[in-house]
Amino acid sequence: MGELGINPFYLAFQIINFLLLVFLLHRLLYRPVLNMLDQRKERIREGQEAAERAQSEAEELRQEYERQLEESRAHARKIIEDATAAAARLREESVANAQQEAQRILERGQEELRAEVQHARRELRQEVATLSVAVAGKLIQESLDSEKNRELAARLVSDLDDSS
Amino acid sequence: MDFLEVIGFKGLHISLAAEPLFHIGPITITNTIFTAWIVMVLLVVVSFFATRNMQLVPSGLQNFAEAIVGMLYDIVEGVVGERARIVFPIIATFFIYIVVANWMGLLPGFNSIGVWGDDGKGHEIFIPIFRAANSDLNMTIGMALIAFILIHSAGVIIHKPLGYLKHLAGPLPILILINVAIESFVPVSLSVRLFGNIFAGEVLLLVMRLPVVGAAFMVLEVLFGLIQALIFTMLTLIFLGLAMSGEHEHEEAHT
Repeated sequence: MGELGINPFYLAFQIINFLLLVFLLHRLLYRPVLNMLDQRKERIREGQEAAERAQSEAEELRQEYERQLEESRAHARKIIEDATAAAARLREESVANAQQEAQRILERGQEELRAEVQHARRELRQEVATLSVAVAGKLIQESLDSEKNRELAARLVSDLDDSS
Repeated sequence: MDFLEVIGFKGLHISLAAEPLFHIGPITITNTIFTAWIVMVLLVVVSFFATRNMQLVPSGLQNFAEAIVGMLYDIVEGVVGERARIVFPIIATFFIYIVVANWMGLLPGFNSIGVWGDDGKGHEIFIPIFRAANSDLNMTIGMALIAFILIHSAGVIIHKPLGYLKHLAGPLPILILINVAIESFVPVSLSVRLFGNIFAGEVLLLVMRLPVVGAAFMVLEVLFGLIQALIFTMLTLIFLGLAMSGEHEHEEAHT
């Protein structure tokens, strides 16, 4: 044993030496490094989870926006349709009104025209009667009872009317 | 051990035992203990600076420390599972300490800078100040004993004393003798393998101290230093994993 250098004292000495090194390295190297590795692992895991969460949130938001956009589009379409329908209705109404108005104006014009014609005809008749009396008086050169004359003339005119 | 004189290196002397270097009170400090202290101080200082100001985004020395510790932790976790955190400090220290001590032993000055002194038996011998820590059987046996105690205390704690005996016995009670013998040889093989490789490496480099050829052996020794650290660590880890493996798994393996 002596030749090999094995010595219980040095053996114990080296064992204590080594265990001291184990203790020191555990304190100074392994524990801090392993804790740091764990911490980093945890941090990366958290980051990944957060990223996944953010992504799913973004996806939800996107769907929400798309839904809203679709709603808005439908709304706009409906407004345009309503407006178009209202405009069409309005146009029809105004066209009908205008037609009615035109009809009315036309009818009134015709009415007035008829009245005017009748009036003119009546006046013409009177005028003709007076003229006829005058002409007849001149022709027979005879003064007649004006009352009688007028009656005569009126008969003449009505005869004229009937004959015409 | 004057075999160097036998093969023509007269005046050179390499002893299997570590040489006494100086005394602190009644305690004699050997050159391997001195080197072990240097390795320890180096590791502690580097660790201190690597973890002094830990950042979530690592850089520089912290990156290096995280890479080494992370790699070792993954290996340990792969073998012993969720209990890795408990055994990890010892396993990781095996690897880091052995590899640093081995590589440090290759530095110039090791085994060559020294003083002439007394070997304690009245002989005048050359005492190198620096000698690779693992070229001392006390060191390697010490670590192997720690590994041995770690392996079997883990087994006893996990399986309970009786359960661990059954675990050792396996399917046939008579096998317990063979298994105990095997387990007892584990620390012997661990310590002697490491010591033998490192000591032989030192002798080899001393003998092959020729230009170019020496450099080639130096490259080999760098490799061996790493490989021996890996072997010691992985074997300890594997035996630990076997000792900790569940009873039911054990039975399943034989059905």
